[in-house]
Formats: sequence, structure tokens, C-alpha cells
Amino acid sequence: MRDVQLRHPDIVGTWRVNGVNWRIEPGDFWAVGGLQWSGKTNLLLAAAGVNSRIRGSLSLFGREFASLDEEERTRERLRIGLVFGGDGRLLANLSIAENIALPLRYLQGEDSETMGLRVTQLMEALDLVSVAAEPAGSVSLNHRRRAALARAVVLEPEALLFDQPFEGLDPRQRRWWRDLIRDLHAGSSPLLAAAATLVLATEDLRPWVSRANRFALLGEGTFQVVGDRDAMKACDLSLARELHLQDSARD
Amino acid sequence: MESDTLSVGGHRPPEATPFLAPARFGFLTRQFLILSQGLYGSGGFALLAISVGVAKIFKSRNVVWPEIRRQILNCGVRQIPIAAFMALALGFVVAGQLLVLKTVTGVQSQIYAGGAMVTIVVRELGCMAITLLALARNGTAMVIELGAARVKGETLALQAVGVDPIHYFVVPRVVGQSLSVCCLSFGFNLLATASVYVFLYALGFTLPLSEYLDQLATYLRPLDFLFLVLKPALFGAVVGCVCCQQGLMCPTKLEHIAAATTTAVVVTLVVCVLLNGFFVGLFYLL
Repeated sequence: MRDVQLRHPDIVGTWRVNGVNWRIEPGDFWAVGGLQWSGKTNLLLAAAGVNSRIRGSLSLFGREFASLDEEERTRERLRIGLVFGGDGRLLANLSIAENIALPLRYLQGEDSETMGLRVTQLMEALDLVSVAAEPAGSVSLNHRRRAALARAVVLEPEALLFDQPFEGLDPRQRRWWRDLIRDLHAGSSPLLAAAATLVLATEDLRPWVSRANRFALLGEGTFQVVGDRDAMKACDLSLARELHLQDSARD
Repeated sequence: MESDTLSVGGHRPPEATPFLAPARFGFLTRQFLILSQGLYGSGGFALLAISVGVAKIFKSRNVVWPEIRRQILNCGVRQIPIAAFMALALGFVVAGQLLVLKTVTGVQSQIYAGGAMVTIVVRELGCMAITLLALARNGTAMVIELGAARVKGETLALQAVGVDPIHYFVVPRVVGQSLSVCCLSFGFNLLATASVYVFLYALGFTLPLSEYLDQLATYLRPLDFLFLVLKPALFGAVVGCVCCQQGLMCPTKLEHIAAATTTAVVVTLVVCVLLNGFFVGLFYLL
């Protein structure tokens, strides 16, 4: 992203985040810290090429996004998996298995055995087999989040963007997600064949200070790249102190 | 929840931003301007839906066509009982009014039963009644369903995984609604036409069946058969388009869904009335 501005969702003509200059390299593991309503979700949507309410220059995998036609944009967008926070933004009228299979079925245009195997593999890896036939709206938050992850990785993206992966989860589930994200970055997860470039947006940087390798802060309408772990630990911005409190005993 | 946007197929549909009608305008003027904005937005959205539907007609059939079937089931098959009830009720009302006319004027009004049925029910009321039924039962549900999907961010989630929300949500609903209103309207007209005769007979009017059928044949024109298909199909498509547009374009707050539902009803009614006027004009010109 070069000089990107993200529009405010409610106030017409107002820009929520200004001057985003951000380069994500293959193999990076970014942790972007920001308080509530700082624009984290907007930022991830823009980075994935989904949010069109931006000004400035966005390039995906070296290609200027604005110069691509719709088919090329979709192709580049599918190289990025977006794992939403909250309830995972699954379609409530579909079952868990149907939600996971939807991108594959839609893009391939016809159902096949390979498709079914891929979905089954993901459900087994994420412990979703027991709720596969349940409507998405009737399962637990944990299952919905895992199904959202399965839907995001079903097309084998090269990069994964996580929007507040710990939101609403208990400590056991947080550990599970932390280990999974570590494995995804290392390339040892059964979900993806290769290591993924990761970006996660969070309100609490503490679990990620020793795991991510690149950091940025989002607050008061600005996006600031901090740098690596050493730079993050040495950062004396007030927002950094709020997101990176010294008490790490909770983890 | 933070904001989301909908940009589909390279097109930017008209956004449902609140219309800033200046306060100096009177109430009626502001309502007219708001309605005009709604009509403009619906027109643009309809063009977008048609372009996506035509361009992707054979794409992702395994996903979209079952959705179309589901919509036909919900909007068509499940409405058969209530549509049949309305047709019978209308037949009873028309028969009753012919009786009143005879009582008041002394005219043998049953001889006009065929003409009344063609002119009032087959050409106008049948299609409009089914469209209102579709709007009340399915159209409002569409606005709420799609509005909730937008508020919860499901439309953006679909875009993120490469699924076109217009192709997945809108096209099946527009096609399903159009086919359903067309078929229901046809059945409604048939049943209402038959029920008038039955009720007239039950009320003691002696009208030979052959004479009734002759009246129907006399008043029916070839153009009626074309409009019997075209008009309800178009009205059904309007219900689908407008309701989908209001649902998908409403602001991302739950409390706006109710207003979007009301707007959808009003805009659909206005568009259908205007289209009806167009068909009446066309009928008399041809």
C-alpha cells in the first residue's frame, strides 16, 4: 500500500485512516495493534483487495490493483485468505460443511470427489466433523471461528489475514489458535501445503510480541510501521505501551 | 462492527446513503425526492443484476441453480394455498358485486360476468394481487434476510472468498420471484375465473357455461395472453430487484433494516403502478 486512505464508514467524506504505507514481504508475520474502532478490519479488507473505499495505490503480489480487470482482481484476491473475527461471518442458512465448501464449489463450477476430500480433510484437521451438518448459526463460537478459518484456507491461499483471532475465546482456545497460527507460518500445519505469510490485527499485542516478526500500530487515524521485535519492545509510543503492557503473566 | 462495502463485478452499485433533502423543502417535496432517489437506485441495481445474471448465466450452476430452485419453492410453491384462497375470495366478491348490481339496477348483470373477469381480474387485479402477496410475504423477508447478511458482514465475507454476492444472492431471488409470480398469477386468474362462475351458480344466477366461456373469448385478445406472461414476470422481477437492492444497500446498522423494508415496499408499489400504467397504455395503442 502506498499513501492509502481508508474511508470512514459513517461520516460521508471523512477518511478514517490516512497515509498507510505498508509493504508485506513473503514469509512475514505481521502483528498490527489497534484499539477498538481504530480501523483494523477496514485495513485488513483493504489489504486483501476487498474494500474498494480507499484512495491511494494498492498492489497485490506486485500488480497494481486498480489496473486489473474484475477477473484478475478476483484471481489475486483468492491468493489471500481472510479469517474474520466475531462470529466468523459464515452464512447462517448453510451448514458448516456447506460454508467451507462454498468457495470451492462456486469457483470450480461443478462438484467433484477431490472437492469433497479437501473439505473433509479440513474438517478433520479442525475438529469440525461432529458439527459438519449443523447450521452455522447454531454452533458454538469456537466452531464458527474454525469453520471461518477452513473456508479461508480451502483455496490454499499464500497469505492469511486474521482479524482479532482471540476475540471472545477462552484461554484453552487461545492456546490452540496461537499454536495453529505458529504452525501456519512455519509451514507445518496440515491446513496448507506451504508456509503462509501472516498478518493479524489485534487489540492485544502481548501474545504476539515473541511470535510475530514485524509490527505496526493503528490509532488516531494513522498507521505506523514499528519494525521487528526489538523495535517493538523499544517502542515508546503511548499506543504501543497500551497494547504491549509489561504484564505478560496472563500468557 | 466496523464497516463493509459492496463492490461487485467491477461495478459500484448506488449506495444507500441517507438522502440529504434540504430542510427548506416541504414534506411532500422531500418525500418525492427521497422516492426519486430510491427509484434511481433501484434502476441502477436492476441493470447491474441483469448484467451479472446474463454474463454468469452458466457459471457456478452447481451453486446458483439450486438457490433458484429454493427460491421458486419459497416464493412460488409455498404460496399456492394463500393464492388459491385469494382467488376464491375474489371470485366470491365479484359474484357478490354482480348480485348487488342486479339488485340495485335490475340489470341482468351476470351477462357481464365474462367481461368483468377479463377486464378487471385477468388484465389488472390478478397480477397486482399476486405481486402484493409476493411483496408482503417474500419481498419483505428478502430485505430482512439480505439486510441482516450485510450488517453481519456476510456479503463481504463472500467477496473475500471469490463469490459474487449479486450472483449468489440477487440473481436466484429475482429469477425465482419472477417465475413464481408469473405462474401464480396464471393460476390465480384461472381459479378466480372459474370461481366466479361457481359462485354465481351457487347464488342462483342462471348463466350457461357456454355463454360464460363465449363472453370470456369475446373479451380476451391475443395481447392478453402475451401480457399474462410478461406483466407478472416483470412485476416479480421488480419485487426481487427492489427488495434485494434495499437489503444489500442498507446502512450497516440493524436499526436501518426496518426502514429499508418500508422503502422496499413503497418503491416496489410505485414502480409496479407505473409499469401497470405503461402496459395499459401499450394495450390500448396496439
